[in-house]
Amino acid sequence: MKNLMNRITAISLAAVLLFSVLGATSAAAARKGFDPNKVGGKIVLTSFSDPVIFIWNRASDSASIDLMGMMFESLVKSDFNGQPIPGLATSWKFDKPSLTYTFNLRKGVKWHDGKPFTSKDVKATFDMYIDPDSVNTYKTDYESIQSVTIVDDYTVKFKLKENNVFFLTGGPASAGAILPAHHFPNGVKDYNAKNSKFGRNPIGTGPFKFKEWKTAERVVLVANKDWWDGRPYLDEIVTRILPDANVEALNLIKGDVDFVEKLNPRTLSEVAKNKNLKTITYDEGRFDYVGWNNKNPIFADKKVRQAMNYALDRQAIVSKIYLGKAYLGTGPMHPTLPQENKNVKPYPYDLKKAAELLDEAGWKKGSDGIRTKDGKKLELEVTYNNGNTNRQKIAQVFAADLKKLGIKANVRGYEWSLYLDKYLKGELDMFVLAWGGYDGATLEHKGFFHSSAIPDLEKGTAGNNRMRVDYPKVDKILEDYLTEEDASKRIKLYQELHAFLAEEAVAAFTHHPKNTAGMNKNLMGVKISMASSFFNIEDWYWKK
Amino acid sequence: MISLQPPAISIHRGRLPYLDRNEGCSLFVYILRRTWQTIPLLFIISIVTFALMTLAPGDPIAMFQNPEGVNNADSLETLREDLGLNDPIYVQYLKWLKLVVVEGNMGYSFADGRPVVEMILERIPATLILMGTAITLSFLIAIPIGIFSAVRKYSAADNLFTFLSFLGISIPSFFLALMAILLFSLKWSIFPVSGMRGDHTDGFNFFDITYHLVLPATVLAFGLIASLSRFMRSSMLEVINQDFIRTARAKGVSERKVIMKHAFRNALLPIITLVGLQLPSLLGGALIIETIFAWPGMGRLAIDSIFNRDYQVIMGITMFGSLLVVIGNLLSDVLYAVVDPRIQYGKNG
Repeated sequence: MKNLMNRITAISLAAVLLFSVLGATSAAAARKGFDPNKVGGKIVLTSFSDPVIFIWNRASDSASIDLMGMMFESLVKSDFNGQPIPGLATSWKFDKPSLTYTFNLRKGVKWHDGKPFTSKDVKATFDMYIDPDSVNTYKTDYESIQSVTIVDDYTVKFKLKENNVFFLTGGPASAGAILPAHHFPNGVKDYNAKNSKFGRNPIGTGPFKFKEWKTAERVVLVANKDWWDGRPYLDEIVTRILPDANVEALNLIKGDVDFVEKLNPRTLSEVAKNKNLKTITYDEGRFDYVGWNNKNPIFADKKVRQAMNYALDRQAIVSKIYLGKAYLGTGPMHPTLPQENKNVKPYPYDLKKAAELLDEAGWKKGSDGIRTKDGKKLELEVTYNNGNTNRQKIAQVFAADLKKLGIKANVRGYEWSLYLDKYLKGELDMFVLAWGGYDGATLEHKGFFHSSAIPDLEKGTAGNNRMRVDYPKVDKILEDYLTEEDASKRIKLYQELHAFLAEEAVAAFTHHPKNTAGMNKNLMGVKISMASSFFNIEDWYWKK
Repeated sequence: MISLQPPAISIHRGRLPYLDRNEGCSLFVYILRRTWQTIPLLFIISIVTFALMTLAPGDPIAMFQNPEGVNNADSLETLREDLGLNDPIYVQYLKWLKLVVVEGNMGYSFADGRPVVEMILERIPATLILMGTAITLSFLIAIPIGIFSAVRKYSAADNLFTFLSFLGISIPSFFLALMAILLFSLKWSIFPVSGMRGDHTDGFNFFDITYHLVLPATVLAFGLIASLSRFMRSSMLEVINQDFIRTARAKGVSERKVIMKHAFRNALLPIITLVGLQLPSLLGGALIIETIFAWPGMGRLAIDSIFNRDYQVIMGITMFGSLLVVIGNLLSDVLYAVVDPRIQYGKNG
């Protein structure tokens, strides 16, 4: 359940009030539609690597986050579309003049070790997240909190430093899983502890309880039969650590594994043929792109950037590499979201147009067929991270077209850590990468396109605007989006941003992949939201 | 009996400095001396590894970022400071050395803060089971094949073994592993696809582990069998052509005894050296096999920590690996004494 994750939301105050009313009425007893006949059975999931640590906000790997999402809960949960619904808080209200959120906590919730959940846990958790010494890797998401105070056992107040319109979904209320205060008696010291016992024996309030973790073999969770929303249907979740994607698929085909989150297009055909398996295709909130350093003198010229966009055969990428399982890319907004500007069309594949633009930009073909400007040959390296075969293929397809244009284009793979380092320093000519982790409510791009997020090597700051996109207009839109309270106005802002980024051709947006999960055909109830594959894991069940 | 003493044969070249029988030390003193010699060796290895590792491009902080660029972490600078990555490299090394020498601790993983010793100890049994089985298996199979091929040189069977061993040496182990899984697990459902234990077994359950061990150990042993049997064959051929073998035959010793006693024991000597020398490459092969078969051993820990630039864990594993190789070599030297009657650590020559 990545919905607890690092993300910012776009939800209007009106919707918040609506949901808080709903929350107050639907707090009691087991969840709607609970069917005791569905109870039972175990499921085997997979992960490429071990979780890092089961302490919220200390891990950013998907294995840790997925499993913690099944064991921990936050005050506010997200529904399928990312809108806030009651979690450990049954209702909430915001007092704008005093910048204070008041949360009414759910009564009768028990930690997995049997101790009651109270406001003390909420305060202790956020005190650990915002402590200056905290190793919370997502600390900046909690910067808007000034203090947390306990009103009574089941009421907490959050005083904010400034208004945060995303407080409820991507912000602290949904991204901050609540930890048990009684397991962190020394507060942030225990949170930061090097060899934390809790980190390998977590205690949460969620639908599943931790049972065992055998390093490099498996992590086992079991049903929390006392969960406040009625027990989950499955008795047990085993996550096998399978570091090889081929072996993962073989396990699925053999029936040793019940669910694989992402199948690659090649194994997909094997899985689709198998009578015991079925697949679900789902959207993931991300965008893939071929990017460059916009401050690189070659790419400072808009004509060159546009030429790159015309030279990119997006359709070939979608149909040949992804076998149709992707949307054509036009910008950083996912095409199924309202923030996407429908008037922005993908750049057509047009090498002639690209050649014209390069000519106009002053890059003329020399006698050897290579384009030259001011005595400098146009030579570019298209890079990808080793092991990612899709990106490798994109790089190859793109480089082949660049060569046709008279550009000396080479393809090169880098090992991941090295790749990121060069990406940070702006040393890569062109790179095939992706960015995302959002849904409709949490889409927000300030950290990626704002000029303040450009890495400053001298000061040693490592922002994520590594394509070095730098326009006052973009900065303004990104900032306004964070403070605008009217949802429809916010959507307009991002549609405008989308059109601007496409016209300026700050990158060549390639595609948005559609993922396919493979699973046993008798596994029912699986819903995959844009934010998480395990969004409703408590409702998964076996057909009897 | 004099005539049966073999002359000093060439295959001992290069090992004599360690095995000078004229020094007259006891086996115990010998082992002690060799152990003492490893300390400066390990020290140098640690400096070289640390330097190479930290000078190599890449950054441990990158592990807190997802390869898909999704869910990126902020506040990476704080983390860098906490992990001591802003110190000059020599300070980082001295800090590490202090941990090891003064506190007898190999440091903590950058990723999850666990003690490196604990992480390695947790993985050792799996790797030892896998490697031990593979080595034993390959010796049990390769040596008879080698002897047979040498004795029946250029026979049809010898040619077949030659062909098979070239196949064994040239097939990449990951391919062999996947083919083995396809056939034995998927098609015929004889063995499990991967893992070391069933989902509900714990600790050391002999049958369960053996059942899971068959495929990975066989695949790992396969390449080793191929190369070992070639070594055994050529070593055997070399010995068979020696004068003392001819003498033995002339003396009327049965052919079986000539091969099994006189030739075999002498031909085995260089092979024993191979055990020690094979250890590092076997560790390397185990990395791939462990990844494919999801075997919870050290190899995967090594790969993960290298990709993540988890310096403390890399150091721990390198030091441990070096120690293993040193011990392996020592062990093969001691085994030498057992097999070769001419080498005695206890008496003057």
